[in-house]
Amino acid sequence: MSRKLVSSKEASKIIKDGMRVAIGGLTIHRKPMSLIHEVLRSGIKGLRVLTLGGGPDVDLLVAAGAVEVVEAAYVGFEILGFAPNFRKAAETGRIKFTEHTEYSIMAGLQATAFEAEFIPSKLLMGTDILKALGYKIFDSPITGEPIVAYPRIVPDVTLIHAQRADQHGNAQVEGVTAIDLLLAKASKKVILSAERIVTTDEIMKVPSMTNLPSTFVDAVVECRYGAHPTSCYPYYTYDLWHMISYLESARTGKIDEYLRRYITGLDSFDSYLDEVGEESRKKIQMQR
Amino acid sequence: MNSYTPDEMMIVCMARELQNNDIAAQGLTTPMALVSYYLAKATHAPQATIMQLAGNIIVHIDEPRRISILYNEFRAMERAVHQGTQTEVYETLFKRTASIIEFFRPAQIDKYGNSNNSLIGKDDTMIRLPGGFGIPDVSPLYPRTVYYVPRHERRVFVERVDYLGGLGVEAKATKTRRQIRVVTNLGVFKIDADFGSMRVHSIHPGVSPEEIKENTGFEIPIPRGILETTPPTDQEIELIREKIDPLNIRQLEMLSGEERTKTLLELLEKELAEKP
Repeated sequence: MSRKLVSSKEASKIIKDGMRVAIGGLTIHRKPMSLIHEVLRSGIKGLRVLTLGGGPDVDLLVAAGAVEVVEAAYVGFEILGFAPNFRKAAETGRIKFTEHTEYSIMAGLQATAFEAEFIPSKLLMGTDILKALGYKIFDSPITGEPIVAYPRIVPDVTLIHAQRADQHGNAQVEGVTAIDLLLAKASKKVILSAERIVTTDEIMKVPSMTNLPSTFVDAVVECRYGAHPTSCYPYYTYDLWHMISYLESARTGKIDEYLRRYITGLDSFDSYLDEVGEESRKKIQMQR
Repeated sequence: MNSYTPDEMMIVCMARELQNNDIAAQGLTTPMALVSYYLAKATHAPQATIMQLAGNIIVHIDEPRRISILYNEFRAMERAVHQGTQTEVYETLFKRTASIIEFFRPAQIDKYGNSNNSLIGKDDTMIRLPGGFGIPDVSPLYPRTVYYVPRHERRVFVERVDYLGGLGVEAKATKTRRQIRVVTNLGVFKIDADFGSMRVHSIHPGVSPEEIKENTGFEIPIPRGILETTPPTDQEIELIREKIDPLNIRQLEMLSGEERTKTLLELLEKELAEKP
């Protein structure tokens, strides 16, 4: 096992213009926000972003103009409603939105992870969603009935925020695990940020908790509050107040101001956390 | 008899759809669904299994538990017997199809039971919605599909959905005999292949047939002497208000726009004061 611990700046060099970048987490849960900020600060463009359920991650990348295509089964802020920048860009055609479902994403990733050319299944037949995906329908050699070929989905890089990891990238992902482990298996490269970097001895205490082993990971970054404003169980819950003010800035045409104040005008995620303030962090903190 | 609110009437109707031994799966952003699962567990379906947070956390609920916005994931993990992955959620849905109950909230639903959470309108006037997530995958597989609509309006109940997401009863792809239920603030509705389109199962007390016709965007037959929905019992209301949702988080699903944000902020302050 090699050491993979690097700075987020170093890790983000893996990401290049135009890549298909997958993002772990789900909507407002455990999004790799510090890595997203790094992408935004580096000025990478033309990304094809894939995620099961997008939230502030997708909305920020779209707002900053870093994205050409979004592929997702859902993009929104759950109880807070629409993702405003994503929605506007999708409606005006500034980005292309490929609407998936949970199954169409998982099937494509499963095909890749298990070295299949495609997954044959009848799910989604007859829906407009499948039509728009343009997937081929063929006669099954087993039953002779029409069946959909769900082609491989191969992300160039996947960004994941884990609760804990050692310096080799043996990681523990908790709570809403979404499809992170599957993304890691199907992706060419994986950048993992972790709330805590712990010793390998610590990881060895309960090996069954290591649901994302180092064999699937290429770079490891340590970042406290690395999922903010989304949640990271058991350490902190989501900062809904911050997200409400973000949505307000989008509504009132002040999104560029937000981007400058919190991301592009700063040198690091630590500066962002300072800008968010200790008081706000205390509000959401659940466990040290 | 207690007085009750439209959301409480709906929650009780939803809870009645859950049978003992069912597996109840929770999707995204659905406090009303979770209240109804917990209510069913505390009343007629104590054996039911609940899968929370898009389904990957299986919880053990042995007595009425409180729902939360701010601590949703934390409360679920406190009661977790298993933390799986989303792939495993689907493996469960596929294996236990006949026992799964999952309450979906459609942006549009048509008279044939087709649902849409993708987009409304087209070209210049197109509205991009957040997306159907898993609804289009699994809804046609279930023998029982339950939709809920907190605001029964013409823009939700349309002749034909603008975009086909969750398939209704016309679909050839569905082999099983299906029954689709729709619970709204006005009544309970049903759609099956035998009749072919939506009809009334029961009307909530105090709601007139005219009110339903006015707020439904297609012809809906309402025979004379139609069933009236059994109102919530005192015990059900007490469980909802005192044990499961004392802060009244459920009302968020009935609200929209600024009113919802304002209510949400008030709820968050109350939850913050109770931080574990």
